[in-house]
Amino acid sequence: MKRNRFLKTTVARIAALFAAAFVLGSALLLGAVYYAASRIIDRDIETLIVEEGNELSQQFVRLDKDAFVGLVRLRVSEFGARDGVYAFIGPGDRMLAGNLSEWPRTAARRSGWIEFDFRPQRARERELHVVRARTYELGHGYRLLVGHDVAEKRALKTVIGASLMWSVGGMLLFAGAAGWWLGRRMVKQLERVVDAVHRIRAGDLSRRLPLHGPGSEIDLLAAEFNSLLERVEQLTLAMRAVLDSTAHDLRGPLSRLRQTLERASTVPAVETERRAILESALAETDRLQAMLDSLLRIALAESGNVSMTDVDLMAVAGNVADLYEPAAEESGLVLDRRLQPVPRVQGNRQLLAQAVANLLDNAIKFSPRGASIGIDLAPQDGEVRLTVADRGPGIPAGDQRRVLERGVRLENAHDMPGSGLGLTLVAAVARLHSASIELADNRPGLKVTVSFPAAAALA
Amino acid sequence: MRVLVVEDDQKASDYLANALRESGHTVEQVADGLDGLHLARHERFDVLIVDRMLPRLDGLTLIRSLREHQVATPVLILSALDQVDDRVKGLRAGGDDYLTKPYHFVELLARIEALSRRERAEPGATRLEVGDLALDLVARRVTRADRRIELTAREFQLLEFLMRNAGQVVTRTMILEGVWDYHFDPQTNVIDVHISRLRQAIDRGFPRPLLHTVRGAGYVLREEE
Repeated sequence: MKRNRFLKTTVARIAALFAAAFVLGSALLLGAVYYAASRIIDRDIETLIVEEGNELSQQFVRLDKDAFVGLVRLRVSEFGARDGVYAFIGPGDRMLAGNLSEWPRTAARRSGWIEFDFRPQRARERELHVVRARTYELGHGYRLLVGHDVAEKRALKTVIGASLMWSVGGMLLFAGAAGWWLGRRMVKQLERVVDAVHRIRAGDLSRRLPLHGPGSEIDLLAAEFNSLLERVEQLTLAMRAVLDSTAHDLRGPLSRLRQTLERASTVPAVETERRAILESALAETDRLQAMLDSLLRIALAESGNVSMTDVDLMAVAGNVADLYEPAAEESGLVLDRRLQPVPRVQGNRQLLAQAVANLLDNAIKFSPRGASIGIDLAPQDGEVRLTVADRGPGIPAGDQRRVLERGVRLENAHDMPGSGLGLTLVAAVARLHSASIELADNRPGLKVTVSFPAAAALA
Repeated sequence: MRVLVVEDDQKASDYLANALRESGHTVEQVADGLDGLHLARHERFDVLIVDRMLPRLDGLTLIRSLREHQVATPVLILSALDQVDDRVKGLRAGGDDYLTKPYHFVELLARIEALSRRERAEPGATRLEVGDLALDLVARRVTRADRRIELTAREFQLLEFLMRNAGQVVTRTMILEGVWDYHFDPQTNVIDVHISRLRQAIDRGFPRPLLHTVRGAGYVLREEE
């Protein structure tokens, strides 16, 4: 199973492919070398043979038969040990001189080139040698063979064959080893990744893929995947928390609604009383609906599936401040605006306006009479920073993160109207716009800062 | 008013039709897009109320075909989809207004009445009048009984919106949409405060108020008989 998996890995395939390519390449190269070298050897040998053959043929004409036999014997004794091959036969194919035991069977009747196997008489050599030779028809049944043992060529063939074998073997060994090592490494890394993915799929969203140090492609992929997981975990936790707290918060209005309707159905009330009961039931359904609307908006912002345009945040903040200013003044509050022109950001005007509205709404709800609420907009460090600061009870440092990430309502806020999802929506809208959100102590009060990446968003 | 309701949820359609009849309107009901298109093309209605999801022909396609056939009857789109972009898509298809389910009937009523009137209003008017209250859109001047009334830019916009819908109930969300172009529910009394300020400006010191609160629905600007 494991072996099988290795053989199927890309690395194993690449190693095999490379080994094959190297083998083929070196075979071609060595083949070319062999061909060229053997051509040179052949030419040298042939020149030698032709010179010797012509010389002897001329001597045959000049000398008488016995003297020629002596000459051939002399040549055999002189060159026989140095790869020279001679044969001189007379009528009836009688061997008259030479170091061949018999006239080679393949030799043609007439003059010409032949190649034949030959076993030298030297005792130790048992294998056949190849001889390249030329035969001469001398007339009157006399024939001469002058040849040369092509052992050199054979040796060359052997050497080249051996180098080919060694290089092929080495190549295969090297490719195999490297492939095996790389493949095993990769398979091991992948096995760890697959293992982690299995656990994540089983529900352990906090698990991350293992990294093995910088640079490896799998690591790059794993790092990307980890940041994806980070986001998925964040979203899942956020949604889970919103769902939890919403289910919890829906109970309140639902049970009040139920009680109200129950009373309306059992108490024989007078008309005006019945109307009051129904109106309070309607108010509860409105509250339920508002809560669900907020949840839908949060889901929308979280989904990122929103059309974005160039938005002038100063106009948005100014308009929403216009909208809330009279209400603030009615509550005895001063709306202190410090809105500066800022670069446009990519955004959704409706959601941004609702986020600003939620911030002002909270600020108005929680501020004591006579206080001032600050709304600031300014470019800062390449960002566009929107701040809403109130003088309310603030949020304890320990709860600040919690309020953003979850749809929680703090204890002291439970008697306030609203869905309790206001800040959650602000956080979701901020995330949609790649903006960061920060809650701080306004000493006293709450200061919410949303920082939009202005230049980056427009680039 | 003659109203055509195109809605496949029978219960919702009946409820809506009954409520409209109780408000004194004539109502036709159909349950799918093709029937709706056929009826809207061949009979005269003052307003169409079209659900977005319909069998046989969806609401947006219905509206688009109507507009292609030069039927200009105002259309209110009803939809369970409350994504910011859905409204834009609805209006782009040729709808005149967009209302999300579940809605308050008074909201729907106020909107279709405003729609049916919109057709009759003169868009090119430069001067709006309600009783002795006059608003000059060119000079951006407001007078009541020839007495100059100073308004902020926002109050002027709000008054213009109310005067364009004079005699009609406008709801808080209609005001938020019409004056601020925001489509969310502000949850608090922000609009009420704006109205009460405007009321201070235009009604104080005059024997007959023009800006009235309609309980449970919204506001109306009109001269009471």
